[in-house]
Amino acid sequence: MSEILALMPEILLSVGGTVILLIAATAQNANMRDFVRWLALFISLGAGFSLYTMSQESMAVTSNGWLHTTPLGVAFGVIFMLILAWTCVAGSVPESDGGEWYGLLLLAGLGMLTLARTANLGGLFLGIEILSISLYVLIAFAYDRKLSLRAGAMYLLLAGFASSFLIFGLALIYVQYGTIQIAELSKAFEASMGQAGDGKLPLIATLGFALFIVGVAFKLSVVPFHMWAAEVYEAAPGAISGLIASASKGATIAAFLPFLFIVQKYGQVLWILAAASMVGGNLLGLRETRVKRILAYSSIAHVGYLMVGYLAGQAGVGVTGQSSVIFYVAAYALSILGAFVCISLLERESTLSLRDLKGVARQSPVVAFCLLVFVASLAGIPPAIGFVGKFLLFNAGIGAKYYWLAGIGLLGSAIGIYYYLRIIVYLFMMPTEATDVQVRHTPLQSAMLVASAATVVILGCAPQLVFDFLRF
Amino acid sequence: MFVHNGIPALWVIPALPALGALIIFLFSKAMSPQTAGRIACGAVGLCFGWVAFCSSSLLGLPSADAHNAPYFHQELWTWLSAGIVQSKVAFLFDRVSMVFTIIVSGVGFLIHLYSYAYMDDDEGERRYFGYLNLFVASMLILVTADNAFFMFMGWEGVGACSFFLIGHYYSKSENCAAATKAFLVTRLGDIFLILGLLLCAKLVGVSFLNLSGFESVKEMEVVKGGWGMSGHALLTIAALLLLAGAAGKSAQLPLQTWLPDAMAGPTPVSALIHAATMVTAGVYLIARFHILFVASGTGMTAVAIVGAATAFYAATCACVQTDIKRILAYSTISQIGYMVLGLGVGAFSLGLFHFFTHAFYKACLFLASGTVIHSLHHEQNIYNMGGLKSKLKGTFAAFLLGSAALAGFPGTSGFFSKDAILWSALTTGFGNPVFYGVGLVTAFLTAVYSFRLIFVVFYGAPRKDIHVHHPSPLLVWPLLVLAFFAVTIGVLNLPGFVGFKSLAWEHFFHPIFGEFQAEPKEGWTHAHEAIFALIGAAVALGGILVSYTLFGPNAKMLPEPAGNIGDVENSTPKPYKSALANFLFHGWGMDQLYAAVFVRPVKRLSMINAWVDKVVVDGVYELIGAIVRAFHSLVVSFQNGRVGRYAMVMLFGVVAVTILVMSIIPR
Repeated sequence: MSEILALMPEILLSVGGTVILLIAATAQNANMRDFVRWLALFISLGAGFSLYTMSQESMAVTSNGWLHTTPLGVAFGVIFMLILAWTCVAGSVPESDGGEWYGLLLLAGLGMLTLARTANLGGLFLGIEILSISLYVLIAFAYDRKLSLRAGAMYLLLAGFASSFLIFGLALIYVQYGTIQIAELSKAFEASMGQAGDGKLPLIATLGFALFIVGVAFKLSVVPFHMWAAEVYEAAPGAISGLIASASKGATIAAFLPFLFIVQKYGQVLWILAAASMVGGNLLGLRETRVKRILAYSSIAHVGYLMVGYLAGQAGVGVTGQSSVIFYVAAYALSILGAFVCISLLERESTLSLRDLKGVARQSPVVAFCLLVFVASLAGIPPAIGFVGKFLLFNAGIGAKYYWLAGIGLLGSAIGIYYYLRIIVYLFMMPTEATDVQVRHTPLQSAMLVASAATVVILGCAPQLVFDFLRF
Repeated sequence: MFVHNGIPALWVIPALPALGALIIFLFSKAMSPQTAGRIACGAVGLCFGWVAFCSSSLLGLPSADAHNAPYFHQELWTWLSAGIVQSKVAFLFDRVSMVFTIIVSGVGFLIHLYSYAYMDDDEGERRYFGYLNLFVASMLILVTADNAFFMFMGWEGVGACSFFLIGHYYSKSENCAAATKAFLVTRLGDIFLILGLLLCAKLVGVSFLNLSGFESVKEMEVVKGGWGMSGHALLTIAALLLLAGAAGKSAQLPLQTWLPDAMAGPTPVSALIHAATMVTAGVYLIARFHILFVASGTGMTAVAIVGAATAFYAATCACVQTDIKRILAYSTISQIGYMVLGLGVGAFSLGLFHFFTHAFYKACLFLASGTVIHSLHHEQNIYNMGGLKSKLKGTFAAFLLGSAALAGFPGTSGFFSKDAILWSALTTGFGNPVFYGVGLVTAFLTAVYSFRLIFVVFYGAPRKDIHVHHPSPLLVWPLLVLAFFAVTIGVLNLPGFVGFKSLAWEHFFHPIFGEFQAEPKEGWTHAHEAIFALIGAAVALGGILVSYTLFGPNAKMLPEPAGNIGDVENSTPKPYKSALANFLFHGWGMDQLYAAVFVRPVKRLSMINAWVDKVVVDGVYELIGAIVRAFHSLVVSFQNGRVGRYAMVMLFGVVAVTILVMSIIPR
């Protein structure tokens, strides 16, 4: 019984997703879509709740060591379920939806949860694939638009390419250590390092972990595996871009966190990747005029910041790198998702460019102001939560003596301010022009946006609440 | 919530006008100017009621003994906690706070009522009342704050409101210049003040300004030396820094230049901020920190010198001004000089007493001059007035009584408060005959210029054909209330030789200032005091007489102006034929001196700095920008949207990572 309870979130999501897909196949009308939306919302909230109520000791390892319940996994899982619920309510759904949208969302949530709770390499790969397959469809959801379809196809091809490296890397690791359990892997790795940590790493393992890093780096869109981000984020529906940027990346980093032990050997590689992302992402965004691409490039940079906290690992002053990563995932998800939802309310036939933002503040002050808060949070301006998140990451990085990396991060942030402020300038400080952008939102959407923007500020002022809620 | 254990909630005092300001600013677009005025008056009126309640509660407490005055103290929350800077949002309501809050809210209320009529046809009335309420709130924080850093918040708040209100008529650039000048000069004082406060915090090491905090300075060995100086020297430096802060806010030498220009604001503002309340903040500061000044010794002398010099300086300037408000402004500077002199000779309670009486008669004079100006359609030059006695009867009565108090006419409040200070200046341990002499000469000048106003403005024939329109009642009766107090309030501290010691103000404040309050030295008796009071009365009457002969209706001796004095503006270089009069007219040329010594060199320096900023600093940033943009173009050129290209880049990444791993990880 307790094993069933332990799997409750996954069961809810997979059954719910399948049921919704079935409903969508049989009945197609507006009432059904409404019903399905609420169903999806409750399922994701229910999954999050059942996860939140789990206590660690009652279900340490379940299902033959595939999924386990750790404080880390629970914290991440709860964050993902909240993101999912928020996406269900707030995002503008493309016209072509017949209800499948919500089913796919729940299945994507299943992938994320699997990544957050996986105990072995198989679960990791499965999670990534479940997540990715849902995302291929969701990206290309507006299938009557060429851009959308192209982006979905591009993501499919490149993700397949990356997955092949990932699975090959995992295979090599298995060959070397003879286990797929991450805990045992960690022990074996530590043992081979010896007390002084100067042990040699066999060739197979070296290559295995390197390819594993490549696969993860692709999902995280770390430079130089970031190329897909701009096109995919631009063409995907706004809410999905937000989901990829927040939960998909968060889930990948959640699955990557148990591998902290490789930092002692691969620290320099990760260092270079992090630095390249922080500088590269911000440079790419610098003069971009298409809003969604700006956010895409910004997300590349943010993964770089995240990796600073990752590298710090257990070190850090006050808050460890690991905790700062969790905090940042929550903070970043709140901000980027809000920003993308705002953008999705402004979407129209052609790509939304900065110039189109000019009339928005007049048309809908609420949306404009919320977008301002989210962008300020992304830029790391106090009192938004993004500031605290970035501070904790760099604080941990400095605590772990990554002085140069933190310095590069600050430099990257400084470059980034340029394009974040451009969004704000175009929103509020430009003379308004006639624009064909129509801001359409339901009262529920605007209420959710305001609540979310308020949360960004409140948690920015009282970050302790996040730690208290997530219990880490 | 409002009364707890018999202690009234002190936060309500500043909160009421702050709430008024908030409502006015938030809903200013939705309300009529009259509504804004009513809200502002109501807020300050309620506040005055609450202050009266607090005061009566305080007075109702039994006085423990001669050394411990009863007080209320309330702590709300911690505001700052950073090293030596420790500050709580906490209020203290003792007898000093009581006196100041009564003036701020009471006189403030009358001035609010007056403003309601005075600002009636003004476009910015809502803005005006919002800032006026905000000012009252800040001022009340200043005088009820328990902690110096919290007090500093009120201190800066009143400065900001003063700036906004001086610049109320912002469409004229000289008004804006006056506002800016007032702000910058007082800011200069504020810098010294904050340095002084930090030094105090460093030396004393506790949160101070509360009753317990500064007690420890009494034992001088508590203060350790540092930076190569003894503890005593550091205390003196701290005292001098605080004095500089007080001088900035209270328009004392050498930071007095802003106050005459501050008359650019509406007249009720001049009455409230630049006569009755804000400019006396320096007096409050010195009185609060009296222990520090006494412990330093040198600090006391410096205070007394500044006070005496300022009193004399401003009185001479007031004698030759032609603008009715500038006369009163210089008079305010001079009178505050008296207060500071009183503090400097150790007569702390008398300094406060002079503040108390001055608030009434100077507010009365300013409001009366406002009524005159209002009735004459914004005419401010006294040589364009004349013969108004019969046309503005109520105003004339108030003006006459106020001037009598200012001149120190025997029996009025100004007589008692000024005379007591002069007496202390001669007889206490900190006093000496020089201070007394300067004070006496100043008293003479004061009588001259205050009755010059009366004679020129209200007597004689009208010099210009100006239509006088009848002021509304609200522009007159607040004057009469103030005038009543201006004449009678002196009974609170009749001199010792009269013999009502039990009512005496000094006795009331004795537990607060305790042994620091300087008493007359051995050998000075009540008989001496009576003689010197007679001398003071004679000087005042003599001044009035001289004024009558010079400016009275029958006088032929009007100072000969260079041109038509009726057209003289305050910027006119030489209004008089006499060089001395011109020198005094321009405030001893201190503006010109400061312009030459400070303003122009700083402006030149800032021009150089602007050039450096534009060319060198901006150049560096432009260069950085250009480099970053170039890199942007480089990286973005890979982003062509083709899957093949992207896969190639990925492959490159894989190869790079593999090579990297193979080369740096030992096998």
